[in-house]
Amino acid sequence: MEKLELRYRQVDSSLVKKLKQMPGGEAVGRCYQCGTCTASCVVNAILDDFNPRRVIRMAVLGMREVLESVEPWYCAVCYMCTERCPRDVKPVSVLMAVKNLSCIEGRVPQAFRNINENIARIGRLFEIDDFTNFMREDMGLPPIEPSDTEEVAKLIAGTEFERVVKGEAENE
Amino acid sequence: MSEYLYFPGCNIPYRENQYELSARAVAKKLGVELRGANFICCGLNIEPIDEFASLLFSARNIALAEEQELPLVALCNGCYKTLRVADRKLKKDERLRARVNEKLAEIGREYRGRSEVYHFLDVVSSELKPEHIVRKVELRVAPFTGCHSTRPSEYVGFGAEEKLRELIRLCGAKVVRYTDMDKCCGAPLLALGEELGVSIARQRLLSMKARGAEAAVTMCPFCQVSLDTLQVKAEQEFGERYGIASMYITQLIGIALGLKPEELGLGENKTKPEALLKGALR
Repeated sequence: MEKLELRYRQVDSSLVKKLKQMPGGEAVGRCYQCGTCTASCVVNAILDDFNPRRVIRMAVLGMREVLESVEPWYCAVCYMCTERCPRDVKPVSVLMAVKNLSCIEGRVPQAFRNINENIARIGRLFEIDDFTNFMREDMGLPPIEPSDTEEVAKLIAGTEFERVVKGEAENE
Repeated sequence: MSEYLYFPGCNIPYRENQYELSARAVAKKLGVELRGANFICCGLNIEPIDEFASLLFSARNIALAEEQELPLVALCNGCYKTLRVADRKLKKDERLRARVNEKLAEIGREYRGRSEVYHFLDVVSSELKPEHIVRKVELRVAPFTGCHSTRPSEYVGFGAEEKLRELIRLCGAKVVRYTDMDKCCGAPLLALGEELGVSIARQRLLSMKARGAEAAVTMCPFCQVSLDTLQVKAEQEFGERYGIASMYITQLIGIALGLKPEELGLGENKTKPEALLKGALR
């Protein structure tokens, strides 16, 4: 992962406004940079380059690099920072909003697109084939019914999710 | 007799069937009925891409439970949290509910907010009584609640830490407390690189070992994959030995209820807890 650097290159004063309008991004402006999020972060503990405090700071400063970086996608979504944040910024949700906005603007890491391709097609992360159901039967478990792919297609029709997964967003 | 609609999620039927097997065996012993339905993904994986689409998936699943007039019960922390957060948000926010229902109408369904989302541990905790226990399992056990059974506390939570500890004690085992016992297992990072997940799992295993735990109990397929499957990988990669037999809480309870290891799928666990359990029976 390329480390995000605090450099003023592409400042976009509308970024923070856009984030505040996204679900989860509402409280981003309350952050006073205490770093409790980063100190609580299990990912930061093994990977210096993931730093939620820095991502939030850059977003507040309007630095569009956060939308282009893979860094926010490294969040494990464990919510420890959200529990501990003294300003109730909800860092997990802010990073979720950053990721959602990044998708709207056309970028999604390939790993996340791959994960969601099955979900868009069959509604589930993994295809349950005859072999899996045979193994389940052997263990004494009921079979998993095949997905209603038509219902899944209708459910996602016209959503941002459909647009991203169907490949209209650029790969990173 | 209590009755629930069982939400299997994506991971359990694909690679952690022993969790469902042991949960069903325990449910049967306790007189808890688990019904099935044709579910789709809870919405967890969709959230980083499109929060609204994630809500649609959750609401569609909850709508199935409402159609059958049953509460929904999940075995996976991720499914529990995702469905629970969606349910809470939709119950509270009328405008959001209207937007979701506009879309659900296209598939002939409706979210009414009349069901409730539970974690299976919560159900077992209220149904399991000391008189159900037929044998004691004398082991030093590290409880691992994982993240989404307790966080975000704004929306989820049922006292999972205390309930898990209480269930371990009911089985006759000793609860071992250890550093960072409430932190993430590392499994969410597997999509971005196995070494990241393995490194985080290793930290949890080292702190369990430091306090003398012989076994770990989990209540989520992600946590179990970390402490079980990734433990084997971490031992190879770091040249260390943790020796923590990892199992689902439903497998431990099953043993204490007198069920056989094969009825609980214990042979599927990579860290082989079966021999340890046999030696610990009193």
